Amino acid sequence: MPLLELQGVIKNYTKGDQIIPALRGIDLIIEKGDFLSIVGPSGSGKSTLLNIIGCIDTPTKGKVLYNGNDLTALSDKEKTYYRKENISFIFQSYNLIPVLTTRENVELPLIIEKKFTKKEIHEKAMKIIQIVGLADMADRFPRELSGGQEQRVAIARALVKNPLVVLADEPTANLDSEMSEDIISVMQKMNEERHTTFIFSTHDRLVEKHAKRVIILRDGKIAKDERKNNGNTE
Amino acid sequence: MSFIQKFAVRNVGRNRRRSLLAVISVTLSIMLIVFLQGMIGGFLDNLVHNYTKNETGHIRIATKEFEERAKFFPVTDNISNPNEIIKLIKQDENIQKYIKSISQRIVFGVLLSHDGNNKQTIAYAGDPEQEKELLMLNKSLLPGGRYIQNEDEAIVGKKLAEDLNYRIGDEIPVMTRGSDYALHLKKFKIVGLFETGLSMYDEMIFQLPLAGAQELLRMLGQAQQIVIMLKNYHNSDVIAQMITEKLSDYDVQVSPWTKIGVYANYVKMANSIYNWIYIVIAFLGAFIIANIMMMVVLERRKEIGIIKSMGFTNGQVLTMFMNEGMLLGFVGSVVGSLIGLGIVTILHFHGIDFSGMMESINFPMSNVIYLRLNLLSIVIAILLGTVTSTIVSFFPSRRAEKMKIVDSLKSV
Repeated sequence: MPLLELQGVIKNYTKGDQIIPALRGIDLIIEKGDFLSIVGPSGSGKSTLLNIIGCIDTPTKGKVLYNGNDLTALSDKEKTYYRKENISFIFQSYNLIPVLTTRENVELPLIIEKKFTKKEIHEKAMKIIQIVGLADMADRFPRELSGGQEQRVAIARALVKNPLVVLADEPTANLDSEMSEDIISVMQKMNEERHTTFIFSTHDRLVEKHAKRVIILRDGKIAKDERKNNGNTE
Repeated sequence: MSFIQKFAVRNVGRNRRRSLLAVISVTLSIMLIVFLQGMIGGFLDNLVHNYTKNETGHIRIATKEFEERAKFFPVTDNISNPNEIIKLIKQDENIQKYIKSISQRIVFGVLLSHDGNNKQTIAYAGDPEQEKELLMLNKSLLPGGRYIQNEDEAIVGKKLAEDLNYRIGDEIPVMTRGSDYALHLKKFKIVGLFETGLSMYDEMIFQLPLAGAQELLRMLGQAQQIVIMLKNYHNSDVIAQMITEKLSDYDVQVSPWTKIGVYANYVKMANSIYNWIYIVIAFLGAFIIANIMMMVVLERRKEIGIIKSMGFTNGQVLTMFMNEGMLLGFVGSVVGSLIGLGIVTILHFHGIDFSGMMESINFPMSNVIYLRLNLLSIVIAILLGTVTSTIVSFFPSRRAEKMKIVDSLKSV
């Protein structure tokens, strides 16, 4: 059974009387451990697709199956639970909570989960902060960090609860190439070690280069679905 | 402290100037409430104090017939054995420990005439020593006079003396109907003039010794009423009930001050009205918190989207923002209460002089009002400020709760 399956997903937005189609019928299967990059020009529907997979937006038509369960049929409460248990987001503009330190930002998803003791939360957070190379910055607030460091914190925050799926919307858009390479390698490491499924929406060639699978979206449709094997295109 | 509370505390410190504005608003309203509570309490205490000591006592014992016609000051429906009743009450330790003073009194209306002027007046007759704790007119004597020492002496209100052209040393011929329904006359020598500052007393009453009045009214060994003052007037209903049970064999009625006359109703009504005014003031003070919280929610739309995308439930978002409103309200309430308490404490000891205003008011209140110092009212004010701030924070918080994640994340 695939981890995620999208069946005929259509998403329309309305602006006044006008209907703007964002996704025009997406059929897609995502397996556990995929390192998938969704590319395409602005307005092609990349972010909308991520939002629908992450259950923060609902399709106008079609189904999204997660381990065979239809996400579109869930209540708001069930969607919140689904996100809490399975999904993590990484945003283009990092979106750290400014009043929380690096450690507290990373601890936040674990606190929300309410599964661990304070000590366990602290240990798990520090471990992942160490992996992203920010152990010295644990007590600093986001305003005291560089853009690259902030994105590392965002990655640590996304990975700390060991999610099955990480949805990353333009994670390297605000970073220089050296920093982007660095960030991607962290995510690759997590993908290899923990078999976390990464789904990127990106314009960045670098991300595309490292992805195991690339989907090209154009005008709300999948124009190409390309799976790579050891750097070679299938 | 839970994570949500810690988060709320940090967020309150995020824009200090704005938070300070919210705190100041609540501080001012709570300070005003504490001050008003002190002042209104002071007014009511003063009213109750004067009303009870001069007219009813905290508890009044009289015959049922007297109570039915009390406003006419009848001298024909008297307690025949007041000394026995007083002795019985004093013997009961459970009652005695609450009592400050207990004394007999006769109050009657009389038309005085002098130098061609007539005036309707009220005579207060009681044991001069006991009345030092009740009427306390000995404290208001003007220079040149003295307090009553003999049974044919009287002291007169300054304005009453002026109206009838009486001076110290003059004799007042008091002619009235006695308990035997016959007219009697007795002269009392004026030994002092008093000025209480309560115009209704200074221009209407004169004080006589109980023995002199009993002789005049042919009431030897009798009393019209027994007046009891308690250490705490709030206990009057309970103690009155205890005394009623104690005097079940006697043909008397025991009434707490709250059941006599109109002033008790004024006090109850004033308390009720002012409680509503306090709530309105608290909401006005907290209203700025509602505005500020609305700004905060709109500013933090993206953040709301992020925490919701992580799995924060709608309820947790609501709680987080309401915690912020509550915290602002609590800090403002504590600061406001402390400042208010400081002001009330000063005015509790020094008082506020309302002489100019009171001159024209015919009400049993003193010229100087001492504010009521009540620590319970501080606790109530803090609770009121905190609760109203939390309530007004609900609507902005509800807006945060209802925000769609996808829309929140799109905001700049």
